Amino acid sequence: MSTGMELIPLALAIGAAALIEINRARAGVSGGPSEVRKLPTRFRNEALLTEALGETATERDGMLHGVVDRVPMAFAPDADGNYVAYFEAGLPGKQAGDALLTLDTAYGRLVQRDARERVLAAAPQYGMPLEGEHVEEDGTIVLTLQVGA
Amino acid sequence: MPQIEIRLRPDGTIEALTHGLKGKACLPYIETIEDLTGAKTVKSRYTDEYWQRDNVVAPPPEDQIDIGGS
Repeated sequence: MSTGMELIPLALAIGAAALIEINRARAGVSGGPSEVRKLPTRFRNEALLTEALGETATERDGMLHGVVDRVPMAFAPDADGNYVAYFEAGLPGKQAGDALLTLDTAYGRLVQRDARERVLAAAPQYGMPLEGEHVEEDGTIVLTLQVGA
Repeated sequence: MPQIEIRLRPDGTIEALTHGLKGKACLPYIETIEDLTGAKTVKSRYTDEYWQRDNVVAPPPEDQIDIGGS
């Protein structure tokens, strides 16, 4: 190989700060006495977030609402376009963090799906036909494109 | 034939590797990969093949450019 790159899709916040904060909440570290009212997320795409919330997704009061693992939550973007998750008062941090992590996993899969579809649709236009595709044990999708075909 | 390997992880993050492109031949593809995936590069590194040209003296292994983020 000659170069290796790590990329973050536009639908995801750059950096690990959100996941670190979620895991702190799960461990009961943040948000005061083992409860949280809001947590940062990696989410930046409203359509994908709505899809990840499934049938529970509703929009009211300018916020996107949903229920994950029986935990109600609401979302609104911050100034940088990253969605913040808001929870009801009194919710234990572990419950909030666990539910948000479940949603994060679903959202990540949707970002992966969209990236795959985007690459498969666009690659021929760049003269780079698909040579192979396989899925690894951890769920990573590997697309191999020919260059200069 | 040169290849680009795009690895789409289940958490949404992406890794891309070029194979068979020596020297600066790989550089134009960085922007192409970003366009293809709809993603921004947060970290990149040149590996062995990049330095296989014009008797260039390679820097320390895995010269890495950290653009930010994780």
